[in-house]
Amino acid sequence: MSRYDEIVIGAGIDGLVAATSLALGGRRVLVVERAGHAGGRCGSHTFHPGYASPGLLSDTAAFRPLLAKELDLERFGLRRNESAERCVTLLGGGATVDPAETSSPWHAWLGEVAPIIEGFLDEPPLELLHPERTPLDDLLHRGFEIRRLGRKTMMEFLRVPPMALADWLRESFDDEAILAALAAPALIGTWLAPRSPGSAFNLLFDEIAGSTQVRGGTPALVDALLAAATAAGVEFRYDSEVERLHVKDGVVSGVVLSADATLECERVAASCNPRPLMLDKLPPGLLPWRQRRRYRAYRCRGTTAQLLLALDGVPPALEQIEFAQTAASLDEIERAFDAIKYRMFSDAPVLWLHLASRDAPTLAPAGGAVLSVLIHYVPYDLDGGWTDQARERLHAVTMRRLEDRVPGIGARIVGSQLLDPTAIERRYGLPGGQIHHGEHALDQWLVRPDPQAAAYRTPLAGLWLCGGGSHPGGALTGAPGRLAARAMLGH
Amino acid sequence: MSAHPRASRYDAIVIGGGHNGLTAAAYLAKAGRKVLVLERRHVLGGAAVSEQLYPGFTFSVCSYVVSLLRPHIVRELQLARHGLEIIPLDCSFLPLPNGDSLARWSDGERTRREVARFSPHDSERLGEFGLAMTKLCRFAKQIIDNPAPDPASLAPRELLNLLRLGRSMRGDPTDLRWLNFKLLTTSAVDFLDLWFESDQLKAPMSVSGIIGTFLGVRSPGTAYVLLHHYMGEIDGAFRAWGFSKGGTGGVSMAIARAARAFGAEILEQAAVAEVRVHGGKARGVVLENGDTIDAEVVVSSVDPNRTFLQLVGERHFDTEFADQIKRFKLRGSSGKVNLALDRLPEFSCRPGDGPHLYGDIAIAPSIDYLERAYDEAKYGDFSQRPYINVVIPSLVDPSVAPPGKHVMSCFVQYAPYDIKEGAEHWPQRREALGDAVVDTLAEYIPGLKESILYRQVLTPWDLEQEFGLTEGNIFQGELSQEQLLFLRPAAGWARYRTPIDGLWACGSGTHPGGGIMGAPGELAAKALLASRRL
Repeated sequence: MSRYDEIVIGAGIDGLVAATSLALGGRRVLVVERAGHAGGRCGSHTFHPGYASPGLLSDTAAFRPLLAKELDLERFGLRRNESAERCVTLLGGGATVDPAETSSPWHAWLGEVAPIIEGFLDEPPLELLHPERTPLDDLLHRGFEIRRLGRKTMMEFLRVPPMALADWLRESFDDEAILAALAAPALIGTWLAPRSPGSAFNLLFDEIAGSTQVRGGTPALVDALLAAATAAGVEFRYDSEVERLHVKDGVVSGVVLSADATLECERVAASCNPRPLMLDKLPPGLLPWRQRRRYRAYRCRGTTAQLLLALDGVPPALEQIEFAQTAASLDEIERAFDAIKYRMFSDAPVLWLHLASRDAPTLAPAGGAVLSVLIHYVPYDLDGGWTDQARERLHAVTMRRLEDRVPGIGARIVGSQLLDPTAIERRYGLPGGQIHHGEHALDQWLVRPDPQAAAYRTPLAGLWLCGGGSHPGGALTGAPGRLAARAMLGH
Repeated sequence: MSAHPRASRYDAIVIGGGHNGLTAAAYLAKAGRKVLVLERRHVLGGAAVSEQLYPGFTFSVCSYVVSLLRPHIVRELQLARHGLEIIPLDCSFLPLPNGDSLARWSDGERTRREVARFSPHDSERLGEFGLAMTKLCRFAKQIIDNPAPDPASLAPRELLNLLRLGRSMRGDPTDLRWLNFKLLTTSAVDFLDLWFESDQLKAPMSVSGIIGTFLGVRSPGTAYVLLHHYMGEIDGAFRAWGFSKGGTGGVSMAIARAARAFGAEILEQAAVAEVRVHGGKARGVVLENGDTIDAEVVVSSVDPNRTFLQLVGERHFDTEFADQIKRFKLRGSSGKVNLALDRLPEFSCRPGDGPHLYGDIAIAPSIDYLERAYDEAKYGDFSQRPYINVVIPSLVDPSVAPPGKHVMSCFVQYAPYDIKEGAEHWPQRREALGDAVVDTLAEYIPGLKESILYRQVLTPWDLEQEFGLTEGNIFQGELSQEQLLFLRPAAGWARYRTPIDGLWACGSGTHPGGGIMGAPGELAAKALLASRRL
């Protein structure tokens, strides 16, 4: 009899939520984490003396509010801000355009359908392609929820998801800077552009899934979750990469760590990307070839690079701003995307900026600031490879764009770190540098990651999935961890 | 000089003598109704039309192959008796810039041998792919042969229809369901990646997914069109893919003959200016020459924008419907270059006459080439190195050209309706588009330019001005998912009725969409007859 009921792979947001939920449900849980600390994609590291990264993903607005209650997170310091910080467009010369100042029928419609998307986030997924079950009950229930919107709203709700977000937004807005401010954040980490069919769903999700940010940003969120997990009795083992799954008599019953140490348990819940897990970490022959083909088809192309900047002060253009993006029009985003199809990056990339130290002052020394810049679209499989010259070129085009939108920033930089997609892969354990554990696209949301693993249980006894590679995706919602744990506890 | 109708009142007036309008008219006439078809041009067929633009040469001016003409329509209207003859298309030829080439045949074994030269891996997958596609066709066939499902309706019959559609997949293994799901959601390239690795196979195969759309082969939602090639297999004895003898106009003319044989009256050069609406009902039409004709019912086969906003007028509709029609996307993305040649065009990569020229020929040397062509057009200009789909119908149908001479029909993408100078400037850019096409082809056919006797270039603007296709969209509306099925042309109005009593719609702008299927015309007529409105 092993010491643990469950081993959770990964101490990121979803791993922490799953582990804590399981522990509160009476289970004995061990979390194994490859890095030396918790946080996953929200984990911090010092990138310049005195300056810490807010993590790869640093906007905490999507973290599900009901988790605070379920995991008693307020007791461990979690607070949410009163109002949401929205992404603004930075135009040349320091001017900004703020879409939050626009209220429109479009926003009103989002409010009407919000309950459906919130249901998508907080309820178990419909297993649309499950072999034995046609979940008629689920479908009818969900169907009636949608029908209750009224015929007109319902038809609209069915019409929108497969659309290109450019087409959808242009039905309601004209101003290019506003269009770009709404579109850019929704496309982060995707292999989609404003004209890509299905991108409207990304925007719909992004708009509704965000409430207000956690006060103190990612450091505060990670601290609260870690404290809650520890208080619930979860144990942790860091610097422990899982090399493969331990399988006995066809049942997954533990993990094998790099040091060839085997840890046994009843069930394994993996919050890492399911694709390499299923393709590379199981004994050969265990997964039938059709399933292997489906996991190979689970798209994990990374399109993100990150530039972390240590500043000796906040540039004037960023006073009053926490989140911003630099594209002045939808076509600018589209052109940046075009390059990635040919395994290149544009010399006019789209930059998403987060002045993370604004809400998390401990990231920088007094008077200083930390700016996280997510650069799109940057190919993982760059033509010619990620050489030093390639990184210099990326750095140069990024700084040129940044200087244009945030005049004077160059003079404030005291240190920086550039993470190309391969560096992101290495640091955060994200195959392909894909920041959401699998691309966010309509088809990969509806069935995630595979028809036979679309509700956290896999066909392999003892193996569960509980991370961003499962429903409802890899944003910082904590929802996969929560829903997986509930399923594992039999709710 | 336009003729005048024989009567002043009809049971049904059909606006537009394209193949769908003619099909609707034929079915209505067959059911004993008094029908009048009004066609603006001097020749019938709409975009399925043959014209002798140059002495001795008959061109399929717009559409150039018959795709999914429904076998039951051919039977029910006895089209073979009225002159319909389809010559099967047996080959898809891909010339390559490096002097190599790939031909894919209806003979699977022959295709496997050719593909094996590029990729043994892919040649081994071909059979499996064909099998999977044939299975996936079953589901698709239910969609195109029936009126669109209506998810908003609570009527028991509708719910049962929806359940039946879902249940038809019930017995299928998970993997097949997943393939169906991927077919409906992913890009043509992503879908083909499940089986194949070589560009030489994926590029020409994926390009069918973007015909008539403003999307690239890597854009989500372009995979399902791949089914079209396989639908013919399950249509039984009748080969759905092919050339129509006498050009695609031959299809329209056969339907017109059938309609006339059933008693329908058809007038050319009879442009409709207005649909008369009075007291919320359609009463008939007014022609451009001033003639007024009454009818119990008016059936429009022209596109939704033209029908509702131009022929009827926005003021007759509530804002919700008008808004839906205004946002119905019609962005044309293609053009056509029709050539009369004084000799056989010879491809340097596979010289001389040969069966490889008797099907369709694609200038689509790689996926990157196709994506670059799309990228160029996104920002307001046509592709300098475009995708071109070529057929030489005179090789299989000698009736369309003098002996030894040839017709070369070139479909080109991308040519966006909205060029940056404004669509009305297309005439100034027309010849440049023609040159881009000819220059590109000349890279593969060295003697081409010298052999051209006549050249016609149709831009999206020309498709709109001459053929009544708003914004030059060849399907009367993009075939994107938000405009298909129960959303085509507007939510709640996908069963051929319109908000105006007595006005019905039946063109490609209705379910199941574009192509030479005849299905919209047939389903609309049958729905009208079933409604007992007539």
